[in-house]
Amino acid sequence: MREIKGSEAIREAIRNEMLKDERVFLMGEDIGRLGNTFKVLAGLWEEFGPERVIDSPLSEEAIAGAAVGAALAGMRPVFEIMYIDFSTLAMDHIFNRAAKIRYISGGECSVPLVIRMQEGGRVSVACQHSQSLEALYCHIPGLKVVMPSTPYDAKGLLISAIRDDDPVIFIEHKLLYNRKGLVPEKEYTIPIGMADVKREGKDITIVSWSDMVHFSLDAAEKLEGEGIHAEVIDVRTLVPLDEDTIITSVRKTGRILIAHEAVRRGGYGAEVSSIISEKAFDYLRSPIKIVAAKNTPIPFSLSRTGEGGGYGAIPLLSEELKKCKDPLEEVVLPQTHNIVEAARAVVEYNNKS
Amino acid sequence: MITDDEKRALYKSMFRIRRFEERCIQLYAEGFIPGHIHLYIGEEPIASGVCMHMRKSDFVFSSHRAHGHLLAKGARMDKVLAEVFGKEWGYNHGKGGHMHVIAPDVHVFADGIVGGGFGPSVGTALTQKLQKKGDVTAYFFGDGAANQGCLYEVMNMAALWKLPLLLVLEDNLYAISTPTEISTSKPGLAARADAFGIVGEVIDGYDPIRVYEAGERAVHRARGGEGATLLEVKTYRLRGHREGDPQTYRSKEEIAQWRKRDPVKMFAKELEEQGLLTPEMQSALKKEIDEEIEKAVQFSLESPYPEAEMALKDVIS
Repeated sequence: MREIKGSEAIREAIRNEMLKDERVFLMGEDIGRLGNTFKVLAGLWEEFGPERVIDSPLSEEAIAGAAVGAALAGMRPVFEIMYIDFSTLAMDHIFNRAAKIRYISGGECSVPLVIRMQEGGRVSVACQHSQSLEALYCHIPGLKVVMPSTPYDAKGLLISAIRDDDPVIFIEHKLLYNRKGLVPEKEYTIPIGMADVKREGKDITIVSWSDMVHFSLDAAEKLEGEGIHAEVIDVRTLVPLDEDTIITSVRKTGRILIAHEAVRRGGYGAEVSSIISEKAFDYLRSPIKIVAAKNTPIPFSLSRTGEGGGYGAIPLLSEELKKCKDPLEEVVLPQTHNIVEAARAVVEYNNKS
Repeated sequence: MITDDEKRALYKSMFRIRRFEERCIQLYAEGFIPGHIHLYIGEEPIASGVCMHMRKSDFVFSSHRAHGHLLAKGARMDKVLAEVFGKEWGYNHGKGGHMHVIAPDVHVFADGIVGGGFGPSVGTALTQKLQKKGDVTAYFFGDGAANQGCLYEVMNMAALWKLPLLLVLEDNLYAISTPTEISTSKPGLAARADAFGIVGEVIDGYDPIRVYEAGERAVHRARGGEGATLLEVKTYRLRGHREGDPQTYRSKEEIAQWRKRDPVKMFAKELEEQGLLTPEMQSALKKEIDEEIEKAVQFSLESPYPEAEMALKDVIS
């Protein structure tokens, strides 16, 4: 198996489906000639032409509506929103049509649509280009929400998403594009709704998704040095949620920590937490903890954690930036040490009692 | 008619924005500025030509490419640069950043979402109409934003309510990589404005005097209660969408052609030919502006980064 970047894995999945199924086409801003602003779709416009890789005007609302219409008429549109922050402009069609039509038509109609969005912080692009808004989409019945953390998962899940008969919100973290991982060349699918245990352990379960999985794995490594064996579950799809894998792990470890990059309040971590307390309360040996972003907008100043991931050649680090003691974006977003400290507290709570 | 003094002032405003951003290019390459940076180089006549007719109490909404509007409207250069650096002494304590500088003292609001200013500009213009102080609002947006549906809702309201509003389209031919010919069905937003009953004008944005005069007419109409104007200004950004943009979507020859018409340089030449700008005046002006810029750089370097607590402040009152 070769090692490729997340952006390449996503492109392979899309190319695979475009070759197989003529109904699949792409729409979005700067996706054709430019191949998307992160070059995720590079070469597809040249290969498939402007009728299947459509550079759209900056009209998110109309494109979202058009994608719904095309799906109703029998196509399988894959529609891209450059930053999830811009998806607010398209929400009416996503919330009120894409998510509702199967239900209100009594299953007669379906909207086989994929909306790829890119989210997340850590590259100093401030409040309108760094948010993690998955909880909004999880809140709307009728949508599936997929958030891969690795190139391997991204390829397998995206192929499944395109073949799925429901609208799928496919959220890519901006740091995924440059992350490398082993990915088979041939096609494969990962079922939507299946979590993945990324690391096994017996003392505490860390439930996470998207980019925070990598922070959770780093934390687990550090905890190992302290004699704490953490299990890391990557839920991979938030809706539907693989509750069984989580509950099975809770039964084993009795301790739960949930880690996500989105803000704490109203975050999907609270939903996972409530499911665990309802369904596995008797197995819990300590209160559930959530590590998440603070309840603030993302400040511009400053993040060094991403070091320009996916953002090209401009050096982000200078002596001047190194002088910054408490970069605000790093203060707001959860870091590995936050997970380590929280995990330790969860384990120690239990040791005390 | 534009006076000689006004011509010189117009040039100074444009040249000041240009020098400021040329310094930004350097500072960005050296790693002093985090994140992205979108430059206004080539488009200076628009901010300068329109904002010269505006006063402090007027409102300006701008985009991710806001340096020109901020400086032309009278925002403090040092506080703009410190914000772009992500520093405490910046306009927004480093929390807004390059794309989101808000300068409350001169009522300028930058916004990182394309078309984000359409709605708010109707709101401030409506307020100004009700307050009857003769204040006006200008929203500077790009050809990309011109295809956002909200513009059409806003033109309807602006016409319906006769609002003191300037909708200033800076048509630089590309929305990131997407050329207007594949994004815009029929060229000419001024004609679309006409369909709503709004006065629309098409102006060559590389001709500073034409922009200045159009800005004057539009502001005059707005202040006089005659309603909104849409200025469709034809321009070109001489740098990429943002620094680091490889610009694969346009040819080097095309950029070179436009560079030949560089409006700051051409206007200097024009003023020289008219005897309004001597080499001595030009070098004195450059010295004055560069000193201001270096003071702003010094201010930004000396400013501390915000303390950690700042991250949690001002979320709600």
